[in-house]
Amino acid sequence: MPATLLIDRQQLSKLSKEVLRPLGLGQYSLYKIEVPSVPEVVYALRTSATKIFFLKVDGEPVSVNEHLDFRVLERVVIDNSAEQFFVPNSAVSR
Amino acid sequence: MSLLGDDSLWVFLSGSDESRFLDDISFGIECLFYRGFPLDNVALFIDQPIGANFRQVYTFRPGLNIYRTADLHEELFKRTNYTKLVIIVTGHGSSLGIDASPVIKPYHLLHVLKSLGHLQQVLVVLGQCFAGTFNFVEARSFDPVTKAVLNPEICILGAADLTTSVSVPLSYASIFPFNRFSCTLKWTANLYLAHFMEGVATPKDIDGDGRCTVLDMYKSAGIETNQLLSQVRATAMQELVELLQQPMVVASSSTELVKLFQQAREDAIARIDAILVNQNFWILNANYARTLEF
Repeated sequence: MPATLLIDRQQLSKLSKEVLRPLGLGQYSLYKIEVPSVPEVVYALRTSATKIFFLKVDGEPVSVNEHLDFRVLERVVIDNSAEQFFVPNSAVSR
Repeated sequence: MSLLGDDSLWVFLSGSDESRFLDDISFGIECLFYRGFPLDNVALFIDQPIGANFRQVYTFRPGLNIYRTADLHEELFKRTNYTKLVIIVTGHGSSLGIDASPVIKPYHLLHVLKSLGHLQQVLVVLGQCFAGTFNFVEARSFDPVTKAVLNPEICILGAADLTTSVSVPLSYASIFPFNRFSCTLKWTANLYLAHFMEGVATPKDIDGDGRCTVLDMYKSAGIETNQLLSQVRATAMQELVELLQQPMVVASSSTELVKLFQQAREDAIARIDAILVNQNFWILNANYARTLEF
């Protein structure tokens, strides 16, 4: 079982519903992370196999060095995200 | 010929360590565990394309070894004590093949499998998009003189033809016996693979011949996948309507927020693209699939 942290989507108030939707669908993944060089960064939002956005505690994306060194602490699951849809598994959608 | 005997090796492969693919693999492992299959006979090949260790927050059953996909040939070549091999592929795919580091093209996978002369039977289940690029390959090898079929003989199932396969939020949390599994039971599952592995855990005799074969699992997974897809298409149409009503850009002083909005919009369009095509399943070497049992 993955180490999982459950949070309410309201905690990520800076994220629009357009972003919360693929997160709720499981297309995007959210992780709690530790970044010693940028302590304001709390989450890593993974939008594809190779793309990450770094977020503050309220979900606001932070512009950081592309090769930021960070430690993954927990997987984060958004509450009230029971939606039904489908997500393509194609590399071209990255 | 059972694929769940002590002489069988099961491999789960993904070129990405995104959560939903790790959940696919975890569910597959639990299905094998439920059948009493020895987990010493399971190997995982998972790439980490970002370089960060996202897998560390993800605990598979203890004792499972995880390798890079690039090590597939070397690791399989070492395991000469197995005569049967099953490879389950989740993750992304493209017209080039399985999206891994490096990309696994159809010819290369076939070359690896055919070089494993100690194997007698091989089953490959491809869950990624554009799995059809692996169809119509020559699944058998022949002795150049006698023309006899050489080991191993290969059967391949594809979750999609020359198009996208899809993952859908599924929940096994209230379904017996899956509700006893030690893994995430509600995740965005590769639909075909989840139903295939569900069939491995609780086999079904679709054609009524008294045996539960790969051919039965191919059919039952396809039926169940299609049933669910027809349900979610209505939701997809609803999202399409909502998307068309939304602004094309978001006004914000944050460049990163604009980038993220644009990414989400592109991904929403990609999701909707997926409803415009049918996810056709396919099987290569179907006669052989009839002889392989669970």
